Amino acid sequence: MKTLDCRNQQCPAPVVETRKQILAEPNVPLTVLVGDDTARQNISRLAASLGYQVAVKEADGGFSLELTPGIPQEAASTPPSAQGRTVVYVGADTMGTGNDELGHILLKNFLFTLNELTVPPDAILFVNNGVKLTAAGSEVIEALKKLACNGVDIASCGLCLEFFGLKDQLKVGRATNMLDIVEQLHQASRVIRP
Amino acid sequence: MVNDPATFGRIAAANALSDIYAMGAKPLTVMNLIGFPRCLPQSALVDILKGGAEKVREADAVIVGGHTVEDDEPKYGLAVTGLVDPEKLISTVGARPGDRLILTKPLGTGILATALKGEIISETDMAEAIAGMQILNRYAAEVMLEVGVHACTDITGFGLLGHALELAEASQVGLEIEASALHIYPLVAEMAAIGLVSEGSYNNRQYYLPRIINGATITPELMDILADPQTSGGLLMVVAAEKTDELKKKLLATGCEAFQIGVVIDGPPGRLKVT
Repeated sequence: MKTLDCRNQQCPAPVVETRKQILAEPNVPLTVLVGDDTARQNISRLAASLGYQVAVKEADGGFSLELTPGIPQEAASTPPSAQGRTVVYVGADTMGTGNDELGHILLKNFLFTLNELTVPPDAILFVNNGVKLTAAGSEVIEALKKLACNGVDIASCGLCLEFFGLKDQLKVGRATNMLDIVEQLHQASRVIRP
Repeated sequence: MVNDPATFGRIAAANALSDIYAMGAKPLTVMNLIGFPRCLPQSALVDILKGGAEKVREADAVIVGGHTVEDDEPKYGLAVTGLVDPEKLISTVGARPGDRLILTKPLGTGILATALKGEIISETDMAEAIAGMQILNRYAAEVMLEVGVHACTDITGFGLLGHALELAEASQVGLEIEASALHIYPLVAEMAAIGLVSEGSYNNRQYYLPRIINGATITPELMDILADPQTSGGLLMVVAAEKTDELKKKLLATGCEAFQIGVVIDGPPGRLKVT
């Protein structure tokens, strides 16, 4: 087992060094030697927050902390969807800034490629010019339908559809309102903005 | 504390001037006390002093001299002399049951400073706290004098817990602090959760825990906030219930914060309860 000797370090170095070691080699048991109670308490808390079990033994002039990963290997690499909602926010009909023609192609590719993820996002929100991608004439309708079939919530801003005269032209997913958009973004663990 | 020398100077000065404001006094003269290593550029020393001078000027006080000593790491403090009419002096004595507790800055600077020292966060991440620590308690104190309070102390190294208990002891009253009313700077809770808690915080909780009436029920997360040593923390004002709204309104109008965090209760004296 790897041992980290922090006995001669001042707060907060022991907890910082332990964190670095855990992040560098996650899910590996680790022994940390510390010289004072502050380091003992701080490292115990760090370990607990990262899902490790801590066994404390008094060692000469300090403590020996044995950190054991408490979560099994597979849980640590849980796919993103299991860690909260992922929402893709499409606020334009282009991706990136620079050239609009290129931007259209890039966004189209982005939406096609979403189908290749093993775990698709939970929702895709289309706002402003973005609603042109869910309405008649869009080249990504099929790709979005495929995502919808896989359980992805495809939602377009109703006010935006109305603004562009596309209210009757929505071809995939549902129309939505600002409250729903705000709640979806607020409750998401991560928001991806292409 | 922070890496920018002028900011460090401003925070140290605001921290040093705070005691004077907590007593309802006006700072007059200031002595600089500096520890500085030879290995650092002299410009940093100049910038620290400039930052300090800036705050002293804002306080309408004057720097009359000081001392510099060689030291392993930069240290800066100021010895401040102020003036107050003894009749109007505000102290930790005078809190009465039924009074309200108003705190004028958020908490958590100790945890953020520990996280910064550990390079887990950057100064940008703690910008709000850095700004808060540079604010002179002068403005809050001016409102306090205008409205009138029963007692006051400033929150520094012993944390809210320590300074509140010192006040309870001096006034021979009990205090009730409402946990949900405590405000912290951004990222404080996250940093405490991964163990970035200073040694001073553990010393504070160890020393003051016996004086908390319901100490056993306090979660570690709440204790982190209560015991966190503050640099240039806010004023803890004790105000009559009927003046509370006026005090809060005027503090907010002046641009200060005004968190109503609890009440003074009828004994046990020198004890504190967290609800």
